[in-house]
Amino acid sequence: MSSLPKRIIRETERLISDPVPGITATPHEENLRYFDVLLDGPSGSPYENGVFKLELFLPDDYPMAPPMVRFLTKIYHPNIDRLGRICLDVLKNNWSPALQIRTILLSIQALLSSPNPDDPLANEVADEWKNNHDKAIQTAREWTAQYAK
Amino acid sequence: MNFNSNINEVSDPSDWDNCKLPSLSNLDSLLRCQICKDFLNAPVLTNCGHVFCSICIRRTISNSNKCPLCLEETYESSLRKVLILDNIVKWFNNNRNDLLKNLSIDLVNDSQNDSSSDISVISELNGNGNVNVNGNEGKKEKEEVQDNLVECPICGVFMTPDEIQGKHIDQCLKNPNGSTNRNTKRTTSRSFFKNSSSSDESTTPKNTKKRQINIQLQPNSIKKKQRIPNLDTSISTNKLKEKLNYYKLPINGKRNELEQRMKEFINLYNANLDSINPVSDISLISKLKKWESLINNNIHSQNNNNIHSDTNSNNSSANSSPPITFDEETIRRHQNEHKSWNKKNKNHYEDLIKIARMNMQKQKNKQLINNEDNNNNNKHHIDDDELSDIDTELIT
Repeated sequence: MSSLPKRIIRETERLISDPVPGITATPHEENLRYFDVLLDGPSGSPYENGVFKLELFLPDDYPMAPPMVRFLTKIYHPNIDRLGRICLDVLKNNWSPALQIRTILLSIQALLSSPNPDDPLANEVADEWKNNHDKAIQTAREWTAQYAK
Repeated sequence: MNFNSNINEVSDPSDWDNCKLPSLSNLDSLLRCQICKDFLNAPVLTNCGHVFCSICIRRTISNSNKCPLCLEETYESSLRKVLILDNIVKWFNNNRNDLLKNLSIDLVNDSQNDSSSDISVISELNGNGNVNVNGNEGKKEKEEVQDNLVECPICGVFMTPDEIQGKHIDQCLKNPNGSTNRNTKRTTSRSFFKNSSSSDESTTPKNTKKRQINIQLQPNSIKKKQRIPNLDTSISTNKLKEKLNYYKLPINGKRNELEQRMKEFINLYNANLDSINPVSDISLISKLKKWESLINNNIHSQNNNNIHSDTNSNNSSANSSPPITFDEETIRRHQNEHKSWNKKNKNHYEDLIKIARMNMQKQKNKQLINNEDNNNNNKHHIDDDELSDIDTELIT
């Protein structure tokens, strides 16, 4: 492991000493840039009561480059594809070094509350979301009950 | 919060949470750069009114011309240094530990605490007789004193008018710091800091001097220096080497390494001009070396270390061919530094991980209780076993 910037140590410490409600992020023992994340589905969304597993990796040029985040738990969401990749502006173009792990995970939680089918990553899900909204919500709920626990 | 004390090198606004004045954590976080989360170093102001470390924002801007806080367009040419803030941050940083120490809630009750600090002040004063208690300590104290004493206009010590007009004023004019001090028993805010920092050799003797000199003034040598203009990446490799040579930088490596090196040096150099106490060009070059060996190190470990595999990069960086730039010795030294850092903080990391795992387990347990039917895959079970092991370890 090459050196770990102070900023990452500080963030890790903060994440653990003062965790965000509904979010836990644990660094791997072998690689402190790699985090296991557990994220509670936001209440009032079809993902309520689900606990989603994600992986998060801080690249070497972090914080100049955004962290890489991916869902490991299967999820039915127009902006998250089969492989768990997430379509979220702050993870790509709108990344700023002033953001941090904590804010990114909160953004992802917010994305679960308000999906954006007009900028889809999973096209079929997005179509369903727009054309047959009730059924899409139903499927999301079923997937949550089945996989996210 | 006890594990905060384990890493002294890494300070955090939350350090104030358990002191007598927890709101200081707000000040603490306001004085930090939003990019590196460390205290502002040579702060600069953007057009949109945000402040960052000069080097942080310069590195950011060489990636993309956006302010990290508001995403407004920001250009290097519009950055302006804020010297007073540099002063403020330096003061805060220098006095942070003392403040924390003095504001910590300890088991000794307050009155006892006060009297003990009084005694130590007195003994300190008796010890070296010439501690200079200046008079501008705040009105309250002055009022108390004004009944029968007046302040010496030179050294600020309170004494009777007769004394000042007699011997003292002559003495004081000759040697302002060597005046004898009568009014010593009062614990003033200044002696409070003096007392607390007396163990710190570097701050005490210079205190008065520093206070007068360095406010918002950069050394003259820095004023003559011109900023290096941004690198024109279309110049020929030879020209680039010439340029590197001009600043006494190494000229080995591939074209893009040369470019990177030049860019980083320009950032370091220009950021240094924004600092209230800038460093010499030579230490800039050594900073650059450190930066470059870090980058090289990272490139090597990156090759062996992608997001979905858990390869142990410790081995990979040791086995990889030596980086192309800079002498091997420096690089080895840096690697050793990294290793010793990791070694030193291993326990701390482990503690952090344990605590996080415990939190995870709590969450999992909650889940398990909620959902009776078990649909977990094998990996989950393994995790659970590991976790319960750790749990029992902690309990015993």
